[in-house]
Amino acid sequence: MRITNNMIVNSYLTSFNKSLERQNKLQEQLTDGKIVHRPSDDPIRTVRSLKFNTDLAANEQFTQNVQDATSWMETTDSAMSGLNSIMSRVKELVVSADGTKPVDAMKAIGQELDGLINAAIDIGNTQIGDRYIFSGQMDKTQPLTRKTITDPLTNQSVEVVVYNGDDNKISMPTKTGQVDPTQDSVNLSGIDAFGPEKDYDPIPPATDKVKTLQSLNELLRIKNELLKTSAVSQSNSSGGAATVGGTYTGTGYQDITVRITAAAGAVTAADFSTDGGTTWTAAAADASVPPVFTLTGTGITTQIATTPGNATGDTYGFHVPNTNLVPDPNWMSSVGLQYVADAHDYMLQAQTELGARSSSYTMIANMLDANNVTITDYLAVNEDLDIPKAIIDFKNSEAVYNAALSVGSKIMPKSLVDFLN
Amino acid sequence: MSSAFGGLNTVVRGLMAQQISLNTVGHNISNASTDGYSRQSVNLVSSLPESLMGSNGQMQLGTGVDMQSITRARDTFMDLQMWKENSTLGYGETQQNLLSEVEGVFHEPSDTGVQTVLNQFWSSWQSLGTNASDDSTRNLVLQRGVAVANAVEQAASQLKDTVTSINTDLQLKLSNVNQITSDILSLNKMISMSETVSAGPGSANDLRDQRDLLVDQLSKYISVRVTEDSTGNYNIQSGSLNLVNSHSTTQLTTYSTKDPDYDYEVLNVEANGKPVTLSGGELEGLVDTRDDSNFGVKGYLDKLTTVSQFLLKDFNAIHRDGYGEDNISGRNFFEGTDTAARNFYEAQYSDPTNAAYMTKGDWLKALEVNAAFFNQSSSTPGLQLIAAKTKSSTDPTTPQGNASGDNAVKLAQALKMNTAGLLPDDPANPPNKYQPTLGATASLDSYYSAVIGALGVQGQSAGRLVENQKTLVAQIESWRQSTSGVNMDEEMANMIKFQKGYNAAARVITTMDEMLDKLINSTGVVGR
Repeated sequence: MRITNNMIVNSYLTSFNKSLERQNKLQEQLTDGKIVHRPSDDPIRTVRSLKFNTDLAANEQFTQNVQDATSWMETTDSAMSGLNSIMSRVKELVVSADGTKPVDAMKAIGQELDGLINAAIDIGNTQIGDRYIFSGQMDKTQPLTRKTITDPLTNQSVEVVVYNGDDNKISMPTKTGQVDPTQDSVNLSGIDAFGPEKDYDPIPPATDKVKTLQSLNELLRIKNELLKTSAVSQSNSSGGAATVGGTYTGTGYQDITVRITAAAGAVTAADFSTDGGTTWTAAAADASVPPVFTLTGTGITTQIATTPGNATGDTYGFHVPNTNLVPDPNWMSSVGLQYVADAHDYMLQAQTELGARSSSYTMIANMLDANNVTITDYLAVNEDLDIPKAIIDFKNSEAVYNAALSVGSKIMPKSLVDFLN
Repeated sequence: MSSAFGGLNTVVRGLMAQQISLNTVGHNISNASTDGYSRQSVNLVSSLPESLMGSNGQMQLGTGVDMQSITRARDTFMDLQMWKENSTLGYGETQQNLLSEVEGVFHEPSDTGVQTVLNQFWSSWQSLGTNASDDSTRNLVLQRGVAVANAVEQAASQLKDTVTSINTDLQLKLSNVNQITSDILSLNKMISMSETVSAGPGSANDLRDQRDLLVDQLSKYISVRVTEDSTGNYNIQSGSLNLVNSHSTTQLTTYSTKDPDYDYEVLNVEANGKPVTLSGGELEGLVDTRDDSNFGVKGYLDKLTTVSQFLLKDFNAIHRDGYGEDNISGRNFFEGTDTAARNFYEAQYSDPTNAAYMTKGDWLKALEVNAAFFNQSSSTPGLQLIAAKTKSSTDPTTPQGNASGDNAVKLAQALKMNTAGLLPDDPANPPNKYQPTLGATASLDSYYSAVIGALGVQGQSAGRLVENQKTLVAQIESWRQSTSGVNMDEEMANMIKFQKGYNAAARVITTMDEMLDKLINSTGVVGR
């Protein structure tokens, strides 16, 4: 075949350019250690790379979820341990409140119990960050408040711990898929820890039921039993002292207010109210001086001492417990102790469930960790350049490039012109 | 008896022939690196002999050399091959360049591509699922949503920019084509005139070389079929279009229409007021890569539109089904300012027989995060409106508090798997559910990676086509050069040949001159 100068030059340039293209590609790969820089370099690797990166992002997110879940459950667990020690102390106190103690000692025990109840409520209001851990899904509302409410059914005031949260689960998913509270919930609601739930009918004008926590309610009952007293508070300090007698025939505790309606030194007429001053019923007076007023329907009698300071409108308020006017050690050692045991068991059960859930999360954390290593491995195999091989290829192509240059320089310039004289 | 000066004439003819040949050698050497030049050689034939009567009868005496023609060495078959393969090369190169621009738009696989943005969006919803009442987590969801909308808008606008640059390129190339065809026409005229009037067919060597070079350039722009007529004119046709003939050219112009889906300007080619279907070459490459709905820029815009539709239809439907912290449902996450459009995609989604109110471009424009979420006022803070829970807190059977992230997890899942099991009931078509936008099996992730995979494959095959064509064209060019190229050594050897020939002829003239001198001046002077 006839060869011309242009052919040699063209073919030299084409091969030269091919060699440079190879070098360029290797250089691009060596600069950042990745095989693929655009989808057309290797479409299959690109699609795999997208998938692995997505998997890695998912794995990292779930690892974060597991860490959040673990810290939540650890906080809950330490709160439950605190409650545990409180309940042990409560049990000691209730056991010690037997028939051998005088009323003052019982009162002291009652006050310590009051302090312990407050401590338990504080634990119930623990926060992690700004989220309440015992509030269920209403994690920005404080779950436990201690209140005295009036039960609309019986019209008596009762001291309760109101629960402001709900009974739902907070889920922190650790795998793709929808939320499954039986598998990925991390919290104990107030009802789980302090329940069961006892609802009171709504107090008008509110329309929502009042949710209270039975374990704490019962502790409050025990406290109130220990603190039973018939102390009377009077509104007029210069008026006569009032004494209370009789046996209350209603159930639970009752606040009674007695009001003087006619007095001239000696009180001649009085009425009483059992609902905090809304309705007043006249008290029946007997013939003694000063008269003993029978508060009809309650079984309670009161007598107000005669003093010049008695004035119309003076009020005397007192709590009246059921049946007895002093703490009942029999009740304490039977019903009271039972209440304490029930509450403690309830809390222990909740803590055990939490422990089981917590250990399954630890397992999941390990699995996610192992997965992370696997996916990163796949990603590396898929995307990363085999650097030693690439460097050798680069050296090869460099040698070829040099050889081409030197050969070209020898062939091209010579022609017959150089040899003619 | 031959004439006295006939011998001189013979040698003079020889001198001229050698001289012309030497000139041709010089022409060849000067044009050795000219594009499209074919080497020329002089056809020397011995001239008609003269009859002489000799003692044995008639004999033929040669009368020297005749220059019959100067021809160029050209293989027209190679030219036809070249023109055919060159237009395929032009098509492939254009396609490869444009596809690599599209690859640049999507920028995968990297940390800054659209896939990463979607992954981060998913992550933010998962985080919201664990801590739904936290404002900073909600804010993160909002920002990532904005990032997704921006990424899609950005990619769409870059693709539209590519379309604009294609249009500009098309106009430039068309004006080049028109220029070339006019030049070919004037060469046609010159060649046919010079060949019919003076030198005979096929003799206008340099003009033909120029014309063939122009056809080379033309063939890259558009595929050509070249035929030569009896007067030496090239008739060039492309497809059904007659580009050049012996007396006229067809000027190609553009006319502009608006793309019905995206409202960008589309330039198409027409000739004499009638639209032209281009075939082959860079021009068809430009138009195909712009308009094709599978591998063209338009096709990729369509795929971005599908992503946008998914977010506006499926994603929004699941978001509408959830409740914000204010216990109100029915809000869209992605919602533009156009209320009519919103009513449409909420309604059209449920009734697929509704007429297509929204064009594809409208779908892309409508992708914005709901402006209500950015409201900073203390009475209705926007962040609280993001629907993270699946039931209201006043629900009679299963109320949920604000820390419930069930809907957030559902929304995250919608991004990762097919939405068929997640979509709520269609209120306009009970008890049926909404239909998934991406079909029965595809998820957003799988759809997007299929798009990128297809892009990669198309880019790769365009690259392969270009590589093969380049090799083929280089091969053909090499064959052409083998026939038509100038070999310096050959020219040098010829130069020596003609120089020696000239010298020898000159020497013969000198000898004849001496002989004639002897005859003229030295005969008949006996005894002087």
